[in-house]
Amino acid sequence: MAGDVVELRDVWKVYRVGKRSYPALRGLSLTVEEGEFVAIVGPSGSGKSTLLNLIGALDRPSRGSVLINGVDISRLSDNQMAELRNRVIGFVFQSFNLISHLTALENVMVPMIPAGIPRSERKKRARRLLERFLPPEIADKKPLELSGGEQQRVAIARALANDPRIILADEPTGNLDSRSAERVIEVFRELHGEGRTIIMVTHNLEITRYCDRIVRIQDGRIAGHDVRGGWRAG
Amino acid sequence: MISDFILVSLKSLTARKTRVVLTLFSVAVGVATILALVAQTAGISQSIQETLEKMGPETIFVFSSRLTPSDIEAVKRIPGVRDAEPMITLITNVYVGGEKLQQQIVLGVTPKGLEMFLSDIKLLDGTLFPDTKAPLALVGYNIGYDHLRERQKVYAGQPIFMEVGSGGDVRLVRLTVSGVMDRYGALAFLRPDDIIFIPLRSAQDILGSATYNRIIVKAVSVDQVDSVVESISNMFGENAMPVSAQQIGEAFQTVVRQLSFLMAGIAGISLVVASLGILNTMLITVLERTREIGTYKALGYKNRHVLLMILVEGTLIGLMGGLVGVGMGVAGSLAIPKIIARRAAERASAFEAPAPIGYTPVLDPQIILLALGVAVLVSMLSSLYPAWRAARMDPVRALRYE
Repeated sequence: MAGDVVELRDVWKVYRVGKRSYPALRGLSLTVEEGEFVAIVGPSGSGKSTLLNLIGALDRPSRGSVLINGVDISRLSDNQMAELRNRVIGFVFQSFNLISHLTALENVMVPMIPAGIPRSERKKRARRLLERFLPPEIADKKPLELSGGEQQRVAIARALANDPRIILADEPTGNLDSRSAERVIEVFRELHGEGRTIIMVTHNLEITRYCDRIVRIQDGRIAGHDVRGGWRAG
Repeated sequence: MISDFILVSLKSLTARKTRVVLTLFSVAVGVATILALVAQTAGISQSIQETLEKMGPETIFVFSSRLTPSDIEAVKRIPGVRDAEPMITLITNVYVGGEKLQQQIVLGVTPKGLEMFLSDIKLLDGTLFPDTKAPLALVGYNIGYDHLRERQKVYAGQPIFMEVGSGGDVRLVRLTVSGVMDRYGALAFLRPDDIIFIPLRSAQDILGSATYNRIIVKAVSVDQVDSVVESISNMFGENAMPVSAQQIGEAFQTVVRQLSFLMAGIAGISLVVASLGILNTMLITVLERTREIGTYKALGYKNRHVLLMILVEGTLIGLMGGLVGVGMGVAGSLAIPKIIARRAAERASAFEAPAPIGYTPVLDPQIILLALGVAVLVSMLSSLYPAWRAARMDPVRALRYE
């Protein structure tokens, strides 16, 4: 199907701890179209994060296939998966995961190094990205000198470092107060407006209002889709 | 791209200053130990070599208990001998100023014998003595000069007293200082700076003896030395032992060589300790930064990028430690002989004659580079395992790590 950027077909992910095995995903299928803003909701332990890790090429499925832009990630080597994460996908984490000893500007430059972008270009691009979401004076500050909302916006700028088409976010407002969360939501709406595909795990009802679709997950399966205004059974 | 990793690693190192500095010093101590030990043994070895050259490798000493003037004449007639002079060595207590020098070497020599023994003598004070029966004395630099206060302490014309005799029949003989020698320099196994020289005939007069117990012999050339030694040996049999300066030098060199093996072992151990320090530090670093490593991976860093990052960090510790170590090693190398000399001087004034081998440490630039290279190599090898652990971390688990 043209226009689909993410496609999961009958995906299983089973974790083994000792002799016992815990299925986190049980035959989940999901398609996300280019430019779609999808929220994934569900109780804790339902498999949301596992799903996001698979779409983000951080992990491989135990069974079934995960296609990103038509490429089955199960067939990729570690290096190819790293390249995919570097160029095609941008990650935003709940706890920001900024590198604490690097400045905001340097943090944004981090993904550009393996992408082979020349140093002078890196600085220019990182500054431009930061100034989209933040005042210029924070560029030389370390993460701990910034507020949570500022840190998350730095992390979003970092996710955009190599201009990826897909943004994956794992509860990006989970650690923020409501004012900071609002600013972050605005940023995501802006990115959506640029035609980027956004897949976000969230509990934030505010965000789900702006989504094209809400995917409900329960026990490793899709329990239903909530398309703008309507409800469709899984 | 490697330069980018070096920059990133430097930033991460400065974020953990205390631990990095401590690890860095363990490397520095290892490198400094190697440098200092190598510099000392090389210096001693070179000093022995220089002594041989200064005195002349054609020099032979004959040790005996009783030698007569006709023995000296006989030695002079041996083919290959250029010259021979008798000497008398005695070891006794000497009183200089208020000090008692125990087991002091007193050497009775003719002016000519003194010149054969030491060429080019410089004096701080007074004159050399002539060929005389008069009780004169020429004192070595370490006896005449106060190292602690850095000034001359014995002067020409001053009396000194020497114990003669043994058991209950000990008397003091008064000698007058004719001159004080300036520093003769780093002579390894002969220490003219620690000797009191007196005229040969005066020594005979004091001892009431017409014989000698040493001969200094000069061969015509170096290649005649062995045959002259053999002839003297044949001539005197068990009554005398000829030893060439070269033989003495070789004996000392053998000792130095064995010592340097021992020291290489010590230096090696200190490097092993340093490498374990780096291994430990880097393992802790990798563990502490599990989430950070997970983040790098999520952002598209390949396993080899992570490997390189940790490897560069460990290697930088080694390089910086190596540089600090070179500084410490060079400073230490230059200080060690001075410390030895100073301690010896302190002890000498207290109760015994100083006996260190005088030398100047040798700092070979090649050895410095080698030590630095070893530091870098060792640190790189010890960060290889932590780097490998970091590289093969599963990004999902690493990101979840608390």
